[in-house]
Amino acid sequence: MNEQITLSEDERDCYQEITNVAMGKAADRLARLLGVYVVLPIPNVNIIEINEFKMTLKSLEGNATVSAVCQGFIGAGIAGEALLIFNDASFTDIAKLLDYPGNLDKHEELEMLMDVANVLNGACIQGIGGQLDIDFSQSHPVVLGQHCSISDLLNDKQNAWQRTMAIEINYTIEDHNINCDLLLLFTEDSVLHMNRLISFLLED
Amino acid sequence: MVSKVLICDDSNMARKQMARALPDHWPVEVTFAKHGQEAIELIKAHEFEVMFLDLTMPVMDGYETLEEIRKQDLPIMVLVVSGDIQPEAQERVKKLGAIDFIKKPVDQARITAVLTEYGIIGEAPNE
Amino acid sequence: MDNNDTDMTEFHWFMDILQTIDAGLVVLDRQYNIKLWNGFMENHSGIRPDQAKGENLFTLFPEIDSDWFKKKAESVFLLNTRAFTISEQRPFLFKFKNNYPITGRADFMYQNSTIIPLNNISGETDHICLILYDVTAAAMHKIDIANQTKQKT
Repeated sequence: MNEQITLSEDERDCYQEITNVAMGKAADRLARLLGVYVVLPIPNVNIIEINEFKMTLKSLEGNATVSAVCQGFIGAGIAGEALLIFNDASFTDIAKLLDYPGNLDKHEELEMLMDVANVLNGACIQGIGGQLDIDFSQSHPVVLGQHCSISDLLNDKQNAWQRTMAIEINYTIEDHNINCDLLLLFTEDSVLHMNRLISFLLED
Repeated sequence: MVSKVLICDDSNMARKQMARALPDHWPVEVTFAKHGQEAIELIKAHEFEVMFLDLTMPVMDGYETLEEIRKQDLPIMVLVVSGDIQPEAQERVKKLGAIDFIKKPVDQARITAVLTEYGIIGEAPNE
Repeated sequence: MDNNDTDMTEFHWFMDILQTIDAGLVVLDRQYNIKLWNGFMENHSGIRPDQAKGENLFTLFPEIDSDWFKKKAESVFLLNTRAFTISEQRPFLFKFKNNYPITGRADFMYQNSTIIPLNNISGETDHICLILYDVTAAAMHKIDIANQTKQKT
């Protein structure tokens, strides 16, 4: 029997704050790497149903102007994925900042995407792990829709899961046309587990 | 002599963590604010010695709050406490008048050191 | 004195690498009790080394077909040679989640493994090491090709 995951206001607030600190670390790394200032808004924490997630995937499908990179993470009973969604218009600016020479071909673009995703995902995941005292292991970045079409992904999802906790963070780099969304997605059992872990943080 | 302290952060959890991290031997009266606008109103109504200020908040964020304090020439010492630890964030807040920047997650040792450094508290009594 | 320091540093490096490497490492004794359990195994099973060590492999993981596994492992103990399991024969040994639990298409991790002999000072194989590899990507790829071929015929 599946215990349905829910978030109390306190729990939502707690995840928001934990993410806030982790994002700060990620932004710091990116800022030092690129010599820029990263604008950090307040993260959004929500439980979303699989259908809502499919809509997000659908909006990526066939959209030649958006790319997404995912990386799985796992540790101490908590598992999930970090999904970084880039606006393709950002590519040229990111390449400039990273000092990639001239025009990039598709391969170089992808490699650059994965490198940037790895920096942001890694810092965020480790930042969250550090606060929960968990050493997450991270899998390598994969471009969504690279090995199979997004339609395949959508069709294949035999409702393996119903709900996920999604933490949404938007990164914008000041003075550059760079904007990306980081979606941290946690499995249902992970959320149950994490709610227990953070209960000690919520005690008075 | 009790010091009046204002903790301004939109996160309930962060406010509590900040309060818990204050030095044990410091006699304080703590007030909470959820965002910059609330903080400004409280500062104008009461006298606070120190404010611990977060940066990412709705309605009025940390930067805007620092600007308001400067504009209105409000008498208060501001220590920024934030997860946004980028080099430029730290520079900006100091330029806006914050006396120092403390990284989140906060720990008591660091807070005590900063408060001692700026003469806000005396040395800890020997136990 | 310098050599000792270098040796210690190298040892620590090896230890760190074995803990973080993207492959599972499990050392088993003759009775298939767990003697070593690395970070990969810990993170994917949710079982810490202190919880795993001393426990019997098949008690902790009933999904492993003990007869089948023992047959493979006995050849390693007796013949001092490696043995292998591949995902085409059995999709997995340990029922672990896919590394991409949200966007991934596989419901679990497909695994290959190598079983290697570990000898004591007398040269007898009294322990074995199970090295577990995540081959989900390759397995899904093969399944995709098989499906495409099916559709064409």
